[in-house]
Amino acid sequence: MSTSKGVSIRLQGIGVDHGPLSVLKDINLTINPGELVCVVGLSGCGKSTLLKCMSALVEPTSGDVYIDDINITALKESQRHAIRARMGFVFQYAALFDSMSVFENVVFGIRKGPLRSRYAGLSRVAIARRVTELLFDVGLVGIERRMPSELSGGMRRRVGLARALATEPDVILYDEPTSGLDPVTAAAIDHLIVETRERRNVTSIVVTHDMASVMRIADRVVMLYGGKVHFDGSRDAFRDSSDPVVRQFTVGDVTGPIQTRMHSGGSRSDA
Amino acid sequence: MATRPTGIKRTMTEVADETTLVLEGVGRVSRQVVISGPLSVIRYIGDVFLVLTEAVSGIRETDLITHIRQWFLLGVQTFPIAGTTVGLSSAVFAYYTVMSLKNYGASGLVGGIVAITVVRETGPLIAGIMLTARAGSSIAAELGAMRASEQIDALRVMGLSPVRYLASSRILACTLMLPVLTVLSDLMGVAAGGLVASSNGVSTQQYITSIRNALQHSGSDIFEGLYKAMVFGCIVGVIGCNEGLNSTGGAAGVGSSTIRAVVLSLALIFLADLLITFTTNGGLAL
Repeated sequence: MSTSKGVSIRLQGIGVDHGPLSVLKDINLTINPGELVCVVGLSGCGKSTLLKCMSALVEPTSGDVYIDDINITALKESQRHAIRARMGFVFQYAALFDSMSVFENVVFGIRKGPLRSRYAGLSRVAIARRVTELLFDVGLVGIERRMPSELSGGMRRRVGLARALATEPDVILYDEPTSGLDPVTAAAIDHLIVETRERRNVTSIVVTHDMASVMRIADRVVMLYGGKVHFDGSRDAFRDSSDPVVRQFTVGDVTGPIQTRMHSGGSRSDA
Repeated sequence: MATRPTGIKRTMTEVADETTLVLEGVGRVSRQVVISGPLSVIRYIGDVFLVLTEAVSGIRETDLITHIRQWFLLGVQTFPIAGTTVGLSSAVFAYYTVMSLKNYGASGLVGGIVAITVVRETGPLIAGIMLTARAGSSIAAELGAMRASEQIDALRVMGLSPVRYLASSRILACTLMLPVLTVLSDLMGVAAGGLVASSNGVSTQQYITSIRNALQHSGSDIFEGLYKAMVFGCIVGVIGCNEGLNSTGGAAGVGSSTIRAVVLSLALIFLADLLITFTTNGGLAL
């Protein structure tokens, strides 16, 4: 597996509206090559939307997204394919192609993606060996022929991670990789995320509200609140922050500036 | 607040407020009908043409096995229901025709009438309706479910165009397989009509001779029917793919997009049928 030089991501004035509701407001953020950033926040605060803006899966209402100084929001959909080919995306529910086996899912990007010419010289045996290695790396053995419907949630996420790693991306976006998993499987997934970053120096952005995960893996923590970046700093600074919103979030307290009642339209009132 | 004694009329302010509300409502509805409605129709037509052009350019990128799988799933598996329905409707049509012609002693002409009607109109139309019911709904539901489970996003983030990868083979399969289905359904229809005719006193020889004479004089009927079938098939494929790929709102959204795909495909098939019939036969003879 080759080492990536990583990718820088810069969000400039990103705003996303869903109808009358502003999900994200004027988000400015720079993520450096090889950095492992955890994006945290309340459920429905726009974390996944932010992640999808980075991969141009969601068009921001305002602002620009730069991947290595290329403004992807200004590109046509057909021009974005080459940029996206450098990305891996681990979806919240894995998003495996359910008509394909595990093997076909993992090998999909190699055989069909824009980077397929890079792997054109590989024989069938070499590709099969590569898939086996990728699955082994994520802790799965002998499941190549199984269908996604036959896998547990944790196994599906691991296969999703193997699929994301298959084309050796320079940046991996993780959308709540440990939500709904038992603590042991969640820790194993966290270990994989850190190991992948350390082995290949890929830029990694992990959206989560699992504080245990954040404390295990993050170099840097970005907290969204009220559609804006409320906190941006190191993991230790986040843990030790005296900011009442951050404190309430990290402790998980019901009382505090964060309103727990949802308003119609899904937004919380900001304190 | 004190209640107003009965018999006292509303104040001018109240009347003005109510009038304003009514006018605002009329304005909103008018804007919806006059501006938003036509704009959304134009936008939809634009989306459909974008899907069609991108799908056509992606046909060569799709491997042959995927194409053959779609031909089988969408075409071959639709044949039993298409053939049966065309056969049944042709049998009914043949029955009424024989009964009517008997009064004039011309029941021997039934074969030609049934053949021309089936080949020109009912064959491609009913096969198109059945393709919509079976394949169009299946395409919209499958792609809609893929969108709801983020599989479409997964394709996009892997640098692939969902239209090229998913829609090309489906649209091509519908466009190519409906003419094939139509030919087979036509044969079923003509055969079913023959059975009914023969049970009502028309000999097989008479029936076949009548068909031969009718089609000899207007052989282009067959091509008109096949042309219609290709257009109908393309409509079913494009609308099904467009609705599925743009489905929103999770599981409920999949249901809605499937309904829209079926209803819109049927409406467009009937519209296309009218236009093709008039344009290929010299327009309205008023």
